[in-house]
Amino acid sequence: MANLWNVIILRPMLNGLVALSGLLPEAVEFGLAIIIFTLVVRLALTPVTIRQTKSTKAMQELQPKMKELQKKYAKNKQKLQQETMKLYKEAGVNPAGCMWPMLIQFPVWIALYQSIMKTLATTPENLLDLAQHLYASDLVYGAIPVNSHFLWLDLGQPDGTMILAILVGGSMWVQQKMTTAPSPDPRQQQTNQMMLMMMPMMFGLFTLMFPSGLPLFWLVSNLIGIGTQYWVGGGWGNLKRSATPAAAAKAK
Amino acid sequence: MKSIRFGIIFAAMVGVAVLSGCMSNQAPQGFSGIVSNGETLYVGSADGRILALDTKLRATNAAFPAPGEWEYSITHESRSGFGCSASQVASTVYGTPVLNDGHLCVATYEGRVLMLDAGARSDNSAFPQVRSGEWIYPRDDDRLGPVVGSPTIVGDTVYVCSSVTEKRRTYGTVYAIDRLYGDELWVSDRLDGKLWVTPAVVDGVLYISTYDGHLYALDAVTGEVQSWSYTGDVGFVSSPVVRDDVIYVASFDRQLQAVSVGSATPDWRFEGGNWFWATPLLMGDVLYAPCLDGKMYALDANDGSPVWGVPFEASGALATPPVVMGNQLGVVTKDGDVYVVDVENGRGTRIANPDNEKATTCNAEVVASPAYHDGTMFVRTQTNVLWAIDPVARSVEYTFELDME
Repeated sequence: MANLWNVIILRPMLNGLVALSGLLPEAVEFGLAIIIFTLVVRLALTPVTIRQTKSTKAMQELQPKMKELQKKYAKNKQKLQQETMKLYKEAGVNPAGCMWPMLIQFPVWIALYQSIMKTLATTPENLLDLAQHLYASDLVYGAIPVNSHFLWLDLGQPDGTMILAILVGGSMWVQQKMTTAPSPDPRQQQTNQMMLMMMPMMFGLFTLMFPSGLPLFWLVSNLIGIGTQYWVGGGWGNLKRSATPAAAAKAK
Repeated sequence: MKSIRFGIIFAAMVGVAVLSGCMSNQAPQGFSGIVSNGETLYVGSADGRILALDTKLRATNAAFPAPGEWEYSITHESRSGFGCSASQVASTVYGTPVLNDGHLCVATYEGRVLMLDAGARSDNSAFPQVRSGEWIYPRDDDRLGPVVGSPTIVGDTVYVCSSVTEKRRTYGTVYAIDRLYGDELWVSDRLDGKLWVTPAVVDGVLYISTYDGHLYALDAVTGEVQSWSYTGDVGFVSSPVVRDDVIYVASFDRQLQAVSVGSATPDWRFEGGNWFWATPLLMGDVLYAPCLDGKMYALDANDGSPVWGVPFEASGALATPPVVMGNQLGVVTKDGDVYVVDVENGRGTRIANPDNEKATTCNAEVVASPAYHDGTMFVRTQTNVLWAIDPVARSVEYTFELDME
């Protein structure tokens, strides 16, 4: 299984990153390679991302109707479920549609993390291990060792300045805020608010723990996500609106 | 909606847990090798210990440590829990210990150089016993950058290579330390590129190869960088081997090169299927170069032409230098297969695992340099097991677990 993972996902990604680094100016080679690579990955995921954005938007639009159903079938959970599914079906919404891009990105994150760490080879063991993953190409071998420095970052080490953590957390907050609709239900609203704060904080914390090559991928990915959301969702969405129950009621 | 969001959080946490799992593989482990002296074998373990083993006693499976045997744990202070608590943790040693006049010189990845006296360690005295010639460098709480290669001792001087990253650049530095007292003799200028090598000192000149493709020559007495240096197309992956003003060194583009001191171009190049990770062995006019492509090449040191009709081909990558055993070479693959190879024709015989014919000889990863002593080849696995192999009988004599309760 590990070998299959290496052959199908890890090695193509790792060699792609290394080869790309070899083609870029040495001063920024690996950082820029991660950014370009993220763009390519996000581009490849565009159809799923657009579906997710549309799905999220459609789900938000269904919220008032959902609320009515919840009121109507408050004592009959089974009926509520049936009616909810019916509502989704009629509106052509897949409730799991929001999750797919996230789930699809996990293997990419893991492979990218492994690729970054193996390529940067911060320890002699990593460097020795790297040799076993390289394709027999002059471009690939000629690009090793890659320059691990990019802007103020050492991509093989966590960023100690907090700048990247703030950027990752901030961009994630903006992206989430754009898609999180205010809910008329105070409890739901509370959950939304918690989610809105928790995820950016969590990833901000991870940024302080992981080698900064991976948070750089998260940051670029978030920025692309914001752009996609802006373009598909038609503007800044809920970022401009106040996400309070009163605002939700007003919007309704 | 709520369940979906919790699903996302759960999935995110699973992802992060997996990532964290991957992260644990990044910790340096070390691959210190073996050196022998008389009946005593000095072995660096994969967890920062140096052990002195009596080969005769180990063969009889006597309790460890017997008189004359010892182990010493090299540790350093580590701060964890957001810098609130400090504890002593095992240091990482990559270079094989260097034996000199009853003393062992060891350098750690955490930036310390230690001179151990076999007698004082045998008595289990507190380290360092200054009267016994023991010392630690630097003496205060300072650290050098990570040391990956072995120290080199010539005369009364210990030479060590280290690297440090400052202001987005990685520099290499060479340190010269007094062998007897551990005093600093000189520190070189900062050199471009990471220095993960063992320096070669020949005729008063110290040669080093850097990670980003430079060969430097330094005055071994003063540390002054000499005017000649060589810049390759790519970085150098192996330590240099020097003879008659020719430097033999391997580069990241899978090539083994011979560069004459004073020259701007290599005398010859030989391309393998992967990196020549291990430092090649120069014997007579032949360079025996193990490669991560699983082959060992025998090359004429004068022109780089192959000496054997076909290179010796092992079952896996070769990451350690060969050991000389008379007119044979002991070769170990990274996967733990041990071969005895004829130096004349490059034909080799694999030594079978005594317990499992399908497994490799040592059934574990081997990256530490092996040693040969008094008719026995010694190999240490990354699982901290020492294998004693009889190259004549083509069999395993005994094994010894370096991890003890």
